[in-house]
Amino acid sequence: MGYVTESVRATWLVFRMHLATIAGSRRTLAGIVLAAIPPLLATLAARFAPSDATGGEIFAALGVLLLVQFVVPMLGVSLGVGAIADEAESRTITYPFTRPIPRASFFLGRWFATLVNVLGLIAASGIGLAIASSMRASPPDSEMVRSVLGAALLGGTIYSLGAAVIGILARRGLIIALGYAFAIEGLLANVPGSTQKMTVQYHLRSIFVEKDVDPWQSMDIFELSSFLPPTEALVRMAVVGALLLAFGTWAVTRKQFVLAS
Amino acid sequence: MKAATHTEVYRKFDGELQRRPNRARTLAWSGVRIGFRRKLPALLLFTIPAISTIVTSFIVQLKFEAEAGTIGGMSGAPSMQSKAMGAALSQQMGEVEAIIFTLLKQIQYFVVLAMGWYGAGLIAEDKKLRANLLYFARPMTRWTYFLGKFGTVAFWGACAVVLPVTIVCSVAAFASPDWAFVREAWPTILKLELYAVLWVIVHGLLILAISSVCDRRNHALAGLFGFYFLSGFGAEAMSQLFDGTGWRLMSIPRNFERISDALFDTESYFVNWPLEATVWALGFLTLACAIVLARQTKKMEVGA
Amino acid sequence: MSGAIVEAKGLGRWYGEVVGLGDLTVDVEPGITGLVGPNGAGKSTFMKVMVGELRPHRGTIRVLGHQPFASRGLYRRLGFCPQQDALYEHQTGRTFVRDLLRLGGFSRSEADAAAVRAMEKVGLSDAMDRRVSDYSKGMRQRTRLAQSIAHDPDLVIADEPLTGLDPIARREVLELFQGLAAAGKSVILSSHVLHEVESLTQTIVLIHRGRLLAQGSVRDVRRLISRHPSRVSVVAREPRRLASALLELEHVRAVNLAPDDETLLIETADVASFHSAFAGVAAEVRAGVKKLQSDDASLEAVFDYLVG
Repeated sequence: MGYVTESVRATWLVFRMHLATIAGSRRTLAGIVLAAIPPLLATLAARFAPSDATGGEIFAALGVLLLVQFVVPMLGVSLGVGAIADEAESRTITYPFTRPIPRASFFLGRWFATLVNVLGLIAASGIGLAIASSMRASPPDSEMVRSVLGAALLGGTIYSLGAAVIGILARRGLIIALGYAFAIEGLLANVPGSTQKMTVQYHLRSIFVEKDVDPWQSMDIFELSSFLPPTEALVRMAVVGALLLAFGTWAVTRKQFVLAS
Repeated sequence: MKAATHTEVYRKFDGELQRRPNRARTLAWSGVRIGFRRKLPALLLFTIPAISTIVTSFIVQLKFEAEAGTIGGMSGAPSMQSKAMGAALSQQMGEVEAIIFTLLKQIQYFVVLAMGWYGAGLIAEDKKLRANLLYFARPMTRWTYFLGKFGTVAFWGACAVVLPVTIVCSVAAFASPDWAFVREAWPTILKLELYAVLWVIVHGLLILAISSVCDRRNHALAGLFGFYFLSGFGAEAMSQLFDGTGWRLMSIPRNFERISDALFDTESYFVNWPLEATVWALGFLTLACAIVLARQTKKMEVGA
Repeated sequence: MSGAIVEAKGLGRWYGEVVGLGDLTVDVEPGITGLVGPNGAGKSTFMKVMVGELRPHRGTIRVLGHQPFASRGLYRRLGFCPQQDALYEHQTGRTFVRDLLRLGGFSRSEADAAAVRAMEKVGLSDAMDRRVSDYSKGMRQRTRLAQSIAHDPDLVIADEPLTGLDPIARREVLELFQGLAAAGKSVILSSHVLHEVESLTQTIVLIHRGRLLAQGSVRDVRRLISRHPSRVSVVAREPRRLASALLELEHVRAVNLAPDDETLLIETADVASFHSAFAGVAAEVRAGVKKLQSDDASLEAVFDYLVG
């Protein structure tokens, strides 16, 4: 069997072995609770908010402030960081690492399994949000739902990948990744200037925000920002993702995990 | 001869026991000492509050010198010109109380970081390592255990916010002529300290409650992040939709904004609700944290 | 070309300032080899380097002709039973072993059959469909062992494989290793309990503080040790009087008085003669003996001799 075939097979096996494990983990259970919050709040808003708040506004406000800005990085980071770090922490990493499979396959398989969970939760949260917002008059149009959901899924991919790489490199990966996603990004993404362009959030906003269109027009956080064309933002994120993936596979191949006996 | 066993485990203690041992203090201090072991986090967490404190102290000193017209340590009686310059500068700098309050606002989030960093593992790690088996096998009540843990987390909070405020107030007291700052502004000093202490208490309880429901420090820290940002972002989003400010009661920083409005006669745009609402909101949060802590520590005690 | 299955030259590996291995040079021949040494001697570190979990900071190592770190060629021929009590808790013993076999290139049916065989070999056929989280410590240990032998490797490296096993299970595991050796496989197992290893093999590698102390058959190493004098400590009310009387004995090489002015540290070339003569000498000089202890009882003491 060639190296590529062998790697693909090993990645698939690792993915299948770990998909259910990750889906049943306590982190994923916490993720389900987290993902349920935007639809729940949207339901509350749709039923009880003053009559001038349209369905589109509910979706936009909760979609941006809660889903894209909070739920996506939180889910991506907290699940993504465990892709390799959980195995190292539970000291089971010895088993796959003493099998004749490329270490990169193990990383890819575990990350893909994590990604399926992350994207599943984000998609459920986003669709739930759209459905709940649609209970109000002037529901969000399908284009808006598609773009916000697309951005959220892209964000989940990038955050989980970045966190997975941090999880390989650092012992306290979760803290570092959360610190980056909320403290550093939170600051840079919301302060006007070119530093915004260094953040994932900026690129995600570029994908769904049309500044001259309601309800984005009325949202404070976008007032000072000029966004990239969606395609360019997408391409940049794809490049970042590819680099992270390449770096992650290289790092996991080189890394020594010192496990306590 | 009478038979006897002599094992290491049940060796009798022959030393002198303290008559009124302060077990909570011992527990708190051991937590603090563990925190001191690693220098880098302390450096990262406290550098900015320390720099802010030094800069503010310098500004306060300058303010009093400007008022006296003796900027730069000029000796002798100040000239008319220096007096005029000093008065203009002093006016530009604003009130000393406002300067200290600005410092407080700047560093209060570092308190959350510092307390979170040092406090998140306090109970979670005990659960993970089953240290409760050791603690509650001794004459220690749940209340003592809680006080000990709270003592640790409060120490770090105090280092990050109460101490800087105290330092700057002391600088102001020494720099002001005839202790004028203490004599005239003592109510504000008390209010500043009260605000700082309240901030530490509420966040300390929150961190310990989250720590008590987790069994890993990292998870507790993530939970703290999650709670803080969720309540913040959620409150903002919902308050936008409801055209009202009531949802912002969910946010701890917004409630503290309301407290600072009440204490220092300021007016924030976003928090125009009655102070009682904030008291209820923070009271509810505190009570919820206390209940969680009581239940979790009871489980740990029973488990022992 | 050397016939050694493990060739280590000048291996060094440290954790910060703690030395795990310091300049370890050793060749391990095929067959069963016991890696012995007290706790913290560096056995686990050496094993982790051998299986490629860690890279040495200094020196070179080859296992079955491969450099071990992340070597897929080696992992086809190697089985590793780690010391840490870690398993995929949600899986049954059988699926745990089967999935790891699948990673090794086995087809589903082959993997399942091999997993069942391995679980039978370690005496877990009745429990193999239970979740490993419900297993006892000994069953978990045997599951770890099962995954290390399931793919029929040429070399099995087992880190403290007998820990946590009851006497019957211990015997079964020892027989399993003997069976592997009889089938032409090699086994390297670590233990800090000398007699366990002795019951399995005559070939040992002694490690202490990250360095090789001795290597070869147990008998040869014992002979080497017996050249060194034995040590006995005595606590007495009249230690000086006892010391001068003991020095009259031909086989007593040295007597040292400890700083507490009560304890004598005695070195004798013939410990049996010493013990038979001691009571008479002590009574004669009215030494008031409070305590007599041989410092040679522990494995640590054996190593102390070799360290010098």
